[in-house]
Amino acid sequence: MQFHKLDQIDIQILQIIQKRARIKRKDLAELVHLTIPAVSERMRKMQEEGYIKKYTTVLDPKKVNLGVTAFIFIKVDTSSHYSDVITQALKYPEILECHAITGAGSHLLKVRTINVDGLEKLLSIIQSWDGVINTKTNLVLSSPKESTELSLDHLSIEEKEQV
Amino acid sequence: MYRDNKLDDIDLTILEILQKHGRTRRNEIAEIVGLSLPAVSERVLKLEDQGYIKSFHAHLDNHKVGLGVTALIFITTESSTYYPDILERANANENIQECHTITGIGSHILKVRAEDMKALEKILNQVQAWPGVKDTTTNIVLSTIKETTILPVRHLKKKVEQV
Repeated sequence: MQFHKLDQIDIQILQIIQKRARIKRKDLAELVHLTIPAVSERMRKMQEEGYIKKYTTVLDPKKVNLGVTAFIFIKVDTSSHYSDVITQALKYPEILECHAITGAGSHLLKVRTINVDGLEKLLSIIQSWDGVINTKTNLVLSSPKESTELSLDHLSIEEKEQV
Repeated sequence: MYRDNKLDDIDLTILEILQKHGRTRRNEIAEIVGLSLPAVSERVLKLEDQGYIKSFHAHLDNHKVGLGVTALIFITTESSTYYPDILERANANENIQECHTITGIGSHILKVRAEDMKALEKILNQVQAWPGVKDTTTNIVLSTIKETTILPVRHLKKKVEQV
């Protein structure tokens, strides 16, 4: 199947469902001035082609008692241990993110735990991973912004420039 | 019936299902947890009302929508009097997905998505021009091993059992 380029209406749909995934098809169709089947077809296509990764429900971490958020930098002694780090990071649900990064340290983790005791426990587990020589932890005091929304403005600009 | 603010096993299962697949149909959930459709709808509503569920989102693929560069920017500010300014600017910039105040070196960490290095440079220039920003350190993400919003919830069950 040929990948289609996103047009203005696709972008508009993506912008809306990034904010409100459970918007009714009828309302969405009205907003973008299309029929319901046309909107459904576009959404199906964008999911098939991988623009939409998935639909999720975001919980309030404090309400589910995960009061501590931290960023942990890991320094791994050689890249031969990277696969161990990956296996371990995928195993722990408290580790929400794991990125390989440039700069001091090789990996950055974003973790959420019940309390500081939980963080200490998780840290000692991470420090025992093969190849981890050192960790640096930044505790999150507050999160004024925390979103999964991606800016799509650059796509609209591209289209305008082409016209 | 269950009391307000106490989650039982079925609530936790519902939260787990919805975190993984935000658009799971109510009748599918009802089947999995062995409840009637109205009972499930009632529970989901309650979980929303009580703030456990924050929102429903479509997650887009950042590479597919042309945001190939992810970076974590540490900011050091001159004094905390500038925090409201930083918050305001972080909120206004759609390329900034997250802004946390943290302990350790630096006062804030930003998670940024940009189209390319040129776009990242532009964002960095903007951040460096924010009032009170003394210094920034940028870690560019080489690859992302794990990136999820799914929070573990089973520890809540343990707590209930302990009571």
